[in-house]
Amino acid sequence: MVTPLKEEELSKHIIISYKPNAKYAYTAGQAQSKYLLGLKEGKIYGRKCNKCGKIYVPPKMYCDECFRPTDEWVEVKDEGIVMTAVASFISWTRARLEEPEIVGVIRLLPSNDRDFVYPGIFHRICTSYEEVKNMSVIGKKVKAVWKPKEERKGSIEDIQCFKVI
Amino acid sequence: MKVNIYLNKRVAVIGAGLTLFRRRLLETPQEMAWEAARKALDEAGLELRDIDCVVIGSAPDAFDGVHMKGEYLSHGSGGIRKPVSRVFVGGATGVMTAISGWYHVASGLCQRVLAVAEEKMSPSRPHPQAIFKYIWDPILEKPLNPNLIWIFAMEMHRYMATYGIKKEDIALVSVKNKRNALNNPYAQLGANITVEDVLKSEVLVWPVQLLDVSPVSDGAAAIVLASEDVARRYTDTPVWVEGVGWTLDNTEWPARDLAYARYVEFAARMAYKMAGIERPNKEIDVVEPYDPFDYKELHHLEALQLAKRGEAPKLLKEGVFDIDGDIPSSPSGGLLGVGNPIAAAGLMKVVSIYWQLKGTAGKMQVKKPVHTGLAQAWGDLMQAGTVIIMRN
Amino acid sequence: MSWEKIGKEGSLLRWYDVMEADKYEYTVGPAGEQFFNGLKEGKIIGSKCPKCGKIYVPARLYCEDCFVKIDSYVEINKDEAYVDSYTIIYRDDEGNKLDVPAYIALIRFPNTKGGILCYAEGNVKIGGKVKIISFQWPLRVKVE
Repeated sequence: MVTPLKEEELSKHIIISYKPNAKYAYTAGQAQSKYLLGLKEGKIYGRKCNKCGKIYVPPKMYCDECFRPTDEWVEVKDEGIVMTAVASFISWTRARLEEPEIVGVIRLLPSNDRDFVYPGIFHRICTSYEEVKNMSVIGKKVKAVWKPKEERKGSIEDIQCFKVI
Repeated sequence: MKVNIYLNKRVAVIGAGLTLFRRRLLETPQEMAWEAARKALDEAGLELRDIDCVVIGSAPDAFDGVHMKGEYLSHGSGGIRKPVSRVFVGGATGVMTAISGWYHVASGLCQRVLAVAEEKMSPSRPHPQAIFKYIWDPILEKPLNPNLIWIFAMEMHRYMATYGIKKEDIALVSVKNKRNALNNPYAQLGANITVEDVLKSEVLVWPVQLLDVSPVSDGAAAIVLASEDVARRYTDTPVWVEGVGWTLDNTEWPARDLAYARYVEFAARMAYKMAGIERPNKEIDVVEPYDPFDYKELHHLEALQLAKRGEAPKLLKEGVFDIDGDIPSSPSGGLLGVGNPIAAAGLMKVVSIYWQLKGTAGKMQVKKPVHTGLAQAWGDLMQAGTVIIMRN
Repeated sequence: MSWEKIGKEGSLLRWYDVMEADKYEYTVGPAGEQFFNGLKEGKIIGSKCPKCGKIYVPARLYCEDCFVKIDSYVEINKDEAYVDSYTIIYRDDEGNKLDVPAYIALIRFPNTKGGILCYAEGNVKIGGKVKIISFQWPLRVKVE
């Protein structure tokens, strides 16, 4: 039979400890490089597949439904509709946060609400915990709040959050 | 009910084993896999030398902290000097291990297969949840410092908003499963709680609260599969695998309907077609949907076509999914009650259906007579669905 | 259809990140504890299968061929250890050059299954007799 342990009992047993050392340099590739450089300029770029008409944000060099290369770069607005939003009281290490961190999925315009696949972005939303709790923020229109031009580095952190307008 | 006449090699499950599921165990991963495999072999009446092929299922290597975990575990799963394959589809791995074992036998390649799933989540520091940070896209999503529970919270909130479901209705799943887990000797968290307890528990990521979530666990599970002629030599009550299905969907946020799990629907249809099931809500007697969060059970019951979209909470309140209802759901206590070692949890659900169909589930046995059972698992960044259907 | 190379190669970006945890704390398991407790007393502990009689070093909880549980732990005669194979390393695991090249040896014990990897010194050769000079983990041995 296996032996369950409590956390306090762990120190009575023999443990081997090790810290991994794994650093990576990921390439952004063609599509995401232009997307990140566009964020530095304050614009959101997407790629369009002319066969099915889908606009991919974040952009991809191939359309995964038609399975062919996408055709052209398009710029989408930095405004959109909130599809879902949540308020987090825990950090990624399971430590407790005092102020909730609010994130959500935003459908960027132009698109319409019958689209199954839409240009969208997963980012922070600047709103109050109450608005999340009573679900009133879902369906509201939001606009990106950009960092000042000097502070933008070419990453998704160049947008501070999306604010309700 | 039509029987699939194209399936000429029937496969049966003839033995199963589980270890206790607990927050941390002393044993190394190999020793845990060995214990589950030993119990499965004992029930089947076989020795290790009778096994032809071994299938190992284990989720991210980063939890146990050993790369090439399949090779590492093959020592404890009896895989030395045998054909071994490893499957990995995130959380759906558990049922995928059973499906992989099935096709090893159904293809005619192997006659007796041992399928083992194991997970040890306790070695990682600061907390196993921190390991989940690396499943996100490194360029587009990780800079936000996401934690795992965000994904489920977003899906839950969208589900609640689309169908107008309240938290009280969803909390009933947690109450039901933890109560069912009291009957399960392997369970980590069996308890009698109320909807009030769930709503008062610590808010992790609104709308997800502490008692809505399944815990981090260590554990292992194993089953033995055999072809028809072999199975009949070892047991009078083999449990046949009648249908399997699996599907993957898109990892990207904007490309999925968060309120409905269509990947599970496609996997389920594949399995139903194979098993000859045309009206699932009349022909399935007992179901084990994957429930790492309480709302996921409702989400999956709808995707499995056992309830109309948005109607699962209503049927839950009427008692259809209770242990003495029309379609008992998660009689073992599910992941909320028993524990969630990622890969072993799915195989635990398959083992639970096996026990129900064999009649050896003890106190967990459902009241009505059962002939067809379904186990389902779900995983990755919420986009892999695997389904297995068994009959006695 | 053809893939055109759009965009200048020079403006492709690289994103630096890590894929690490703070650390891992591995439990050694019940059989491992017998082995490591034995090291503290200067002994090498193995386990013996009740069915086939094979002896495993370091101690294991179950026999890999019979697949049954092993409950008996035996002390292995450490004077009979020999070098099964060895290699010389010039850099450490991060690629930094070592001041003095190190010998890594795989030592085995007669009539047992399994072996232990350790640092070696002295007249390191295949088949050489081994004396364990440090029971800290990893072991250090001297080859005569």
